[in-house]
Amino acid sequence: MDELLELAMRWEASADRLRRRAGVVRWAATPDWQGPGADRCREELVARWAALVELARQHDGVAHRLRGLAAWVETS
Amino acid sequence: MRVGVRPDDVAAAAVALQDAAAEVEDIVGSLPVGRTMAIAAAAGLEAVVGGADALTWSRAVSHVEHEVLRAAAIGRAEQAELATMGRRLHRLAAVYAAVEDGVGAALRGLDRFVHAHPALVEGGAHVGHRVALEPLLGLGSRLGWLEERTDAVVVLDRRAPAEAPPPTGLGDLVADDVDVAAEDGLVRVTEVVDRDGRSVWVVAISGTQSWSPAPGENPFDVTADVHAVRSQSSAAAIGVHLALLEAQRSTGRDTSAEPILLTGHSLGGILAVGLAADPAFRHGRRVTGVVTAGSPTGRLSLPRTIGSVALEHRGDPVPRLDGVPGRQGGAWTTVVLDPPPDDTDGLGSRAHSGELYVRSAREVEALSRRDPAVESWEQVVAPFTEGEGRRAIAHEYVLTRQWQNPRS
Repeated sequence: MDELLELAMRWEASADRLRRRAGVVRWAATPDWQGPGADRCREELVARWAALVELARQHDGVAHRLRGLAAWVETS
Repeated sequence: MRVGVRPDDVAAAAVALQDAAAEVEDIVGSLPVGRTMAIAAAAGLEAVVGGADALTWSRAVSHVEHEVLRAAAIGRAEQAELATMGRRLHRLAAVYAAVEDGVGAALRGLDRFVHAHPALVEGGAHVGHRVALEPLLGLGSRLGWLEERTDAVVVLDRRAPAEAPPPTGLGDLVADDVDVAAEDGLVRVTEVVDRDGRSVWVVAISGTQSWSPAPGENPFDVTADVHAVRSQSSAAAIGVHLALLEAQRSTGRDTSAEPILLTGHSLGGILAVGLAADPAFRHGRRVTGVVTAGSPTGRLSLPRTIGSVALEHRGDPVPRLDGVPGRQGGAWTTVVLDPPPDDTDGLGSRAHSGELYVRSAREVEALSRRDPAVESWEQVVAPFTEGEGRRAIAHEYVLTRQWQNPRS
């Protein structure tokens, strides 16, 4: 059970790292630069930010499942 | 120089993307995928051995496996997307930098070219006036650009009149034009009173302050430029007329016989000549002179009773934009000057600068002081700049172009 909780924490830690990196990508989409293709690039940066946030959520989901499994093992 | 694209920002975004790709790669690489599934399976199996429900165990472990595999797959795909986009942004940053350098070099080249070839600018402008101006204005009107809307009005924000130093020569007059250009919409009407209590009036008109083709609140804009050069009314011209009207009315006396000098740099000069040429503007007023600096006024006509002094730098392309040479003879005096190369750096834009015209005007003034002969331009400005014991009162107005609501 301890191993399950330790693994859950590792997945949660990676989710935090992904969210921090997503924040940097979102910042990169913010500058008001103009020019050919700038709008499209900004849209793609926002899409990458959303994908990283979704990936972080996915890692949180794994951690949640592991904690659920740990709780089930403990009660059974 | 900046031309609207920002290679540095794009490069920063590219670095952020590549860092993100590296971090995701690191995370995906260090994920305990196999270990997570093995430990989950072992823990569940242990629970079943201890008496737990086998179906529930199977479901719980399956959920974990599913989530782990999905997270790993999405992570790998995302790492590839981030890396690809980072590389694309690096290429884009390089393209932007090349565009910026190219456009900057082209503009600097054009600036030097127009300085070095004034006659070609004049010839090109002459053709442009015939074949390009009307189509350009037609295109502009479809976009709502370069048009003085019929529902536009000029609003004057009047400041309290204040004592000011009276102008002492051509240099001061041009300096006043450059000074008013520093504040949006400013017009300065200066009443100069001599020792015997007789007044003359100097109106300083700003050059172009707003370069947007869409007419905005500041009437000293490109729209005023194109209308003034075609002798058409503009919000700026109406505003100057109203400012002078209000300043003279504020004295409470009949000012119709008091001499008026209109002065302006660039657009201000075109407006000055345009107003002086307009019988409606002259009605009830005595305009006796116009001073312009760097203004294309060769296509405009003035009555012989009004003296015109036009300063032009040989390398300044702006006075040549009307496509005809500056006028000489009769009431017109065009003084063409060659500023030192160090002052212009061979650039048309520097040759047009108001500060350089102020310096040139002061040099012309200094030369005339050493020469006993009276030049024709001196006769135009002398009533406004000479005399002992004079004092001056500056009446300042800030002009704003506003729009009426037709339903109100």
